[in-house]
Amino acid sequence: MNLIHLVIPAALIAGAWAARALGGPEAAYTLPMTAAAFWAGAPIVKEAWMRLRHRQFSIPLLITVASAGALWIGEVWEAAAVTFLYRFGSYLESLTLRRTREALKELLDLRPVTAWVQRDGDWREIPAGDVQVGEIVRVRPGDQVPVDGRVVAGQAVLDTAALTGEPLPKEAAPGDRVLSGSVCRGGAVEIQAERVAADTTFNRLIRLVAQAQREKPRVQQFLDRFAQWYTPAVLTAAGAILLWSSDVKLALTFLVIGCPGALVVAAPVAVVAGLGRAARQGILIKGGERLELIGRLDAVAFDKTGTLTQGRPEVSGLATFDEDELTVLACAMTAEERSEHHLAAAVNAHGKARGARPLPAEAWRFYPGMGVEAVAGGRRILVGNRRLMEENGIAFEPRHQEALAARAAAGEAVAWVAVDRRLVGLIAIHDPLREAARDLIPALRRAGVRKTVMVTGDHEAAARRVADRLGIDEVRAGLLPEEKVAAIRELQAEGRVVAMIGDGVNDAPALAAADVSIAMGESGTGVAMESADIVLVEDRLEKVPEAIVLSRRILRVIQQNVTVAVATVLLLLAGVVTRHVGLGLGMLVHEASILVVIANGMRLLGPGRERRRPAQMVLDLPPSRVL
Amino acid sequence: MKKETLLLENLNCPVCAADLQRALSQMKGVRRAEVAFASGTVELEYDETAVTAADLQRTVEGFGAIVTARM
Repeated sequence: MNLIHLVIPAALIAGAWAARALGGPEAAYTLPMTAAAFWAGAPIVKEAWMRLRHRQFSIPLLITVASAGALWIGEVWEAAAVTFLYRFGSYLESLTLRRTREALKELLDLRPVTAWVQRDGDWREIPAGDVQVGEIVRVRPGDQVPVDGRVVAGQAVLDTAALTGEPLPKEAAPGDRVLSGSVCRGGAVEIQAERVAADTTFNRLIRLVAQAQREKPRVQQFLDRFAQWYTPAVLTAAGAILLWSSDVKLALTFLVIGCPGALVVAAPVAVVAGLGRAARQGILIKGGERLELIGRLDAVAFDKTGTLTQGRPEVSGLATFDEDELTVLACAMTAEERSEHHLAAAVNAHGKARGARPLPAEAWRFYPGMGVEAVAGGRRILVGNRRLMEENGIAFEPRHQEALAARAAAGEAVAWVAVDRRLVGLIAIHDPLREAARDLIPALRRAGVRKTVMVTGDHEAAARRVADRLGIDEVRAGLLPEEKVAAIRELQAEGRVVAMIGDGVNDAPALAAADVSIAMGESGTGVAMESADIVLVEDRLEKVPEAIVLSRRILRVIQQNVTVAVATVLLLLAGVVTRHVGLGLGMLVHEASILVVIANGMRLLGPGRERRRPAQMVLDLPPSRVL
Repeated sequence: MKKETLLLENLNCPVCAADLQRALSQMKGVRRAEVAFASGTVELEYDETAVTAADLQRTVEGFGAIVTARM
């Protein structure tokens, strides 16, 4: 909706009140107010008519009849206020919903568009969907793999983060299976297509997201159910009053007062205020329709890398063999200096912090997926994995094995350092925990969460190490995106209301399948953020328990508001029918109920009442009584 | 028979979504209409000889929603 359609009626209403306050002629009040009602009301009338043609009695119809009636009996302010408030509410709702629905579009943008395929002995660029099973495609640095298939020639480093969340790029050599959507970070490969077009892993992922969104249970809100019978009931009752009393004014008073003014704003005002408060605390809750579920959460599933951990590897340990630490670090830095591998950054940063400096090197050579070689001062330095060392004929002794065993048990990644075909060091690299993750599990338990599960694409040892330190109940490691969805469904099958916290594209299906999806705002990918119900600004994990508690507060305020709105309407209706309430008094109470509801909603902007714990109460007693 | 998915904006309440689905399903030539509130999409399967895409769009827009993309 164009904002101008809100600004113009608002300006007209303000102008009308100003004219009255300044003691202008009556027409200076009536005309702008009537114009505002028409401007804001026109689309409502159109929608009411369209739905009437489909035999639906809708709230737009009630608004139409009531505001037309109000205009007819000369109550122009009520007509303008009702139509304007209705449209303002719709506008706020569409704003919050818009962003949540961009997920699908964004995922589609990541899809491989073209493929280089070998046809008639030549390489041709064709649409990715046109590749046939059995054809050979070529992938070079920066390209996305367009098909699922097997490498038949070449060697490359593939980044599969979008699919598996695995942060370490993997080497692909002839015979290896590769998945569509992987990105080539170095080298080049030729791939024989096995699954193409709609059957590829990446396209399955897209369908999974679309499907999971559809499968989300619809929260049938009390208000919406209520609205279904409220509208025809008020219309029928007004008609009956007209027939029974032949009093047009009474019937319209009934209709105007029965118009759900406070009811229309009861939920939106609480939701907008509550979500505004959450946003100020770094919790973006998108749309009110998930609040009920957030308040009822009793199980939380976590992704590991980038969610519980920082997603930025660091050197966690160093073992040296016959050389000192600075020499080993200097050698490693020499080799890694020109590497863009993400572990290289960790090694260089650590070396620098310890005061080591790279040696002047003459030549570098990169082995995709294995490591780096550098020549410095006539010495040949190798930094990389075990395979690189073995292919260069470097022998492993029992003490090397022992050093490795200690590190592997802790779930850390390692890089060997060799100088002139002799192992001199072992560098262990890990992904540190986020600071906020440490107190997260106890805080979630206090907020009523009974089960915590880690679902990760990473290997078991690394996952177990993190889970044990944080106190997470259950670990599911080595999962593909589809298996993460299955894990969520299992929890739901136990009758739990499940939240999923994740950051990657690979988490998107699991996020969509969960009752409540929570994404990291800073490190997270766009897809995860767009589809999530809650986004944590600055990745503040510790805000999750607060979001649960706040959601419950918002829901309580909505319930109070609805009670006030309904009670007011019922009382007024009774008063009107028994002729104890005339139009003037009725209007006043009606408007007052709207103000009460708004004020109650605004309470959410303030701090919540802190519940005192017994321990604090003891401390609050005067010292003499404690002693 | 044609299959189409529409991406909507301004589909603001679950009841409106259910009402829209009911209205679309009742239209002549529409075999299947599924409105998903969470993703803001409508999946349609219809007979192009009995109902046009423009007719369907008019109904959607009559419910206050806007079609932003077709897939």
